Amino acid sequence: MKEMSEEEFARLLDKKLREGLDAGEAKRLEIWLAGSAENRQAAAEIEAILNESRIKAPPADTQAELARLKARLHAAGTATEPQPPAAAGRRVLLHPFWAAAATLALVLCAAYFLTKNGRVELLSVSAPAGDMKRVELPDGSVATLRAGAVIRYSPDFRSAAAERRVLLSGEAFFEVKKNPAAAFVVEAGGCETRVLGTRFNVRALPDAPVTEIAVREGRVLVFSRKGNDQAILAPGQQAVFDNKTSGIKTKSVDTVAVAEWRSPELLFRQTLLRDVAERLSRRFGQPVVFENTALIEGCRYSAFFPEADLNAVLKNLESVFDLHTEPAPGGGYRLRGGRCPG
Amino acid sequence: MLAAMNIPANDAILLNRLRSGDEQALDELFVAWHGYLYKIAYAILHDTDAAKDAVQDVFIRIWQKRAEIDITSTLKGYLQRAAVNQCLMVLRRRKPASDPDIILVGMQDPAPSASDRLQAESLETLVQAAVEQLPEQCRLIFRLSRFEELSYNEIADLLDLSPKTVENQIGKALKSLRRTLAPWLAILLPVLPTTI
Repeated sequence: MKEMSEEEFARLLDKKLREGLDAGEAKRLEIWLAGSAENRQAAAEIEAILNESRIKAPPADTQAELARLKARLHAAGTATEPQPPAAAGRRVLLHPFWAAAATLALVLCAAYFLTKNGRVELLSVSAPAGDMKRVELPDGSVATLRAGAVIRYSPDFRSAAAERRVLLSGEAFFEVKKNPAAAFVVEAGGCETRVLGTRFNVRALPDAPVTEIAVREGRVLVFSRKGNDQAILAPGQQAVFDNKTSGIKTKSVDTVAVAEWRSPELLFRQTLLRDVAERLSRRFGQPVVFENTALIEGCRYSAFFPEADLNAVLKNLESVFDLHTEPAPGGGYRLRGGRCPG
Repeated sequence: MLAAMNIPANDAILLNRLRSGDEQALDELFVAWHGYLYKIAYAILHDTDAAKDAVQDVFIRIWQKRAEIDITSTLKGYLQRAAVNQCLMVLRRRKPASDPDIILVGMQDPAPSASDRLQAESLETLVQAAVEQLPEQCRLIFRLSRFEELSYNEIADLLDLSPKTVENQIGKALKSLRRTLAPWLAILLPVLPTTI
């Protein structure tokens, strides 16, 4: 008796909210809810649907409507023949047809998904080394691939009814055309990022310990493919997915820094030096490290470079913060000394 | 006044006045029941003007047929059934024009600013659009159930169905809505902790 169909628990939740359950029903629902987190999630979704589907009729002015009624009555006079009453039987003729049509549609959808899930050769697009590539996807969404990145997607991407799925290796910025009927899913590293229409960046470098997702606009859902963790991101938030543990941590990120690699410019607005170091390392693909830890947590930097050039940035940082730059033994740069200006 | 007291004796007096051609009685009846019947009509038709018209038509018919009105149950039951029948007739006439895909297609707006609106898009709008796509009878029953003043039994009564059918259709509607809205729910709903 523990098994309960989705229809049944949905009905019980509705009844509970409307007129209350009897003891037996309440017990069944309680057992079912305690059964799994999935069940509780389903219940939360059903309750949200019930809440949002409440009929909220815009107000109607009774007195104005009464005046209109009287006007109609007197204009028509009592001689007007009323329309013949609706024959109850006619309704019965129509409904089975529509019910059957709906059922047929469902069956067609099911058949469609079965073929879709069979093995399909995926299309593959990649950006050459040293250059980025703009890819227009069949649904009108645009993926900008950073040098070396590869995306793959199914040839029936556009017509796929349930979701639009792409596989990513490397870093790419997505501008997704909104479609509430089909989520756009980016599979990268060990995680999936699910959106409906938004702009976001996914960085999934091969052999990197983490996969990072940052949002420029809209909201995205990131979850581990193992199902052990998930996060919802708003603009200015970044998820760091640990490819080993499948754990997700979130942190804030300046929206101008999201996918800044797409533009030749480099802009810092009151950016903490800690974040400056991170952005430079990422942008130029080599570690840039400030040795003075007090400095990186306390000082902010504002600068604009129309053409991003690491040497120019380092030179400017040296002069603003009184630093000394030297190449680091393992590659990249180390910045020593320094103090906040003013 | 009348609605608040809802005393059968008063209803009977009012009906007698109506039968004898007292137009004041029609006004009283209208004022007492308009709000309630309008909400039922809106639940079914989902259109303010159509709902107002439907209620008007109910009262016009009552006035025209006043001599023959014979209420076997309650005044409320009589009026809500008249309103539902009127709305069903409107729906039948409307059918050729209605295309269940219209709303969601309209929402796949390719305008460049579409993404800007994602956050403004409320779950309510999406739910309403998904309800539009339910099969007709399922949609009708579900809508009436979401007008929270009608019980399962009342809905069953109004539509000449068994209460069991009504309950089943509501379950079906919710299941189908959850499927349609799954990608949105994943984004818009807070995710519950996986362990408690």
